[in-house]
Amino acid sequence: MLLKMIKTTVLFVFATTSLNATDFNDQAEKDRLALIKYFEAKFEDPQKNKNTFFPYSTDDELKNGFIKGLKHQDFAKGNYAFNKDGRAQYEEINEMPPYEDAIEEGEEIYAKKFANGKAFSSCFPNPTIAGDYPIFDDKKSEVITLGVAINRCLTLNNEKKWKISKGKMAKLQAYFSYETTQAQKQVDVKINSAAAASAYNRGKEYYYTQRGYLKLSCASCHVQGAGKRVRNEKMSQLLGHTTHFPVFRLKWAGLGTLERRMSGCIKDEGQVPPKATSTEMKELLYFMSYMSNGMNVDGPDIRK
Amino acid sequence: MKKRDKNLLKTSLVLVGAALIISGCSSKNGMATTSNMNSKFMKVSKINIQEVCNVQDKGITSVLTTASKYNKIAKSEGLEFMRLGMKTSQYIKSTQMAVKNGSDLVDIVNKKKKKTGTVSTSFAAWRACSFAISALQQAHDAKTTWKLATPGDGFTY
Repeated sequence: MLLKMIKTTVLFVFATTSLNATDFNDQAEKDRLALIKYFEAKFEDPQKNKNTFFPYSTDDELKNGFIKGLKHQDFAKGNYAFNKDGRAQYEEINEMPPYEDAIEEGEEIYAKKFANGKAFSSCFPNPTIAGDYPIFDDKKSEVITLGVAINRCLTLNNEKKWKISKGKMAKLQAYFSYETTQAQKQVDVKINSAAAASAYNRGKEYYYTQRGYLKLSCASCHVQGAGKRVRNEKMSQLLGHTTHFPVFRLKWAGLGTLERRMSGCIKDEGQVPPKATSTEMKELLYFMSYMSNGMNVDGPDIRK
Repeated sequence: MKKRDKNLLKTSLVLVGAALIISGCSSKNGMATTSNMNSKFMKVSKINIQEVCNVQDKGITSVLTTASKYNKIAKSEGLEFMRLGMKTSQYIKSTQMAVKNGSDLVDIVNKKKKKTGTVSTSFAAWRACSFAISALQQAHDAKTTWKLATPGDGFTY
């Protein structure tokens, strides 16, 4: 009798604790679903919801400047999901995308042999991986972005690291992103441990923390501020921010990675940005990418 | 209680203990973002910037010393401000140089070291000092405000 009781108790405790231990992405999922709900509500009908979401916008702007009734997947296009004028210009530029050469160069870089005779395929046999990064390396207890993984591959093969923000790095990532888009894959960032969940939480805190002399958080512009106009630009939304990188930016007159864009954003807030491979930057991208989980990868792309 | 039963009880207690430890280490409760920034910046949060960074009352050297002291912390925490392409540390250094050279003006330079403007030394000192302290005060406040902006956490609409 006693034996049975003990067995049942032990089984019950193990079952309960095991279930508890596997919910590492619980909070992240709650955040992601809440974000989808928020943006779907915000862009359902901007004119109708003026008082709630767009108090400073004009009726004309809300009536004629927005594409209404957006659903989750629509947001993968960033600002062009809802911005009528911007969408028209975007589609026009995309008739002859300025990043096409970069994809081809990226493919050449992928195939080119290192001095030791190996190539990037030795580290990335499948190039459709753009939606899987950042990953959390449990052994090293750190977030690994695609840029860091590429540099790891280079050093593993006795090659010099590349600059994370542009150049060859952006071109190779453009090739990965293109292949992932062609394979119709979605963003699929995983949180499989307590350490990964902590990294996610720190990234989330960074995103929502006001910083710089302007006292702005990333969310000021890209959650609460998304869709609002600054000068003549409507600000893009967090949901889908990472789906289309690297991007060819007209301002840069070239291709750049997500790290490059985020660095610029943090400077705009009036703070010295963290380095592209710093823990802060990697965890920030981890959070942002998780928010785009389940969305179609749609890169590389063009932005103003 | 028989010896066999005692052993069983012992084993099960060990197993239950192990399970609880595993759960404790890996559950969401262990995931909370921890930071000692709150206590670290508590003192700074009470500083009156208008007072300690007032160049007329405190003197430019004292204001620059205050700026250096707090910007060192801001920099180490990854919170250093920048404006017009110049970091707070650049404002401090340039103002110190200008004072040393007897100049009343500080050049504003971009990242390529190209001059883009000029401000007075007293204004540059004020900016450096207020930036250095504000960065820390803001980080202190943010520990309680960031969740209020998060959909699903504290942000309502």
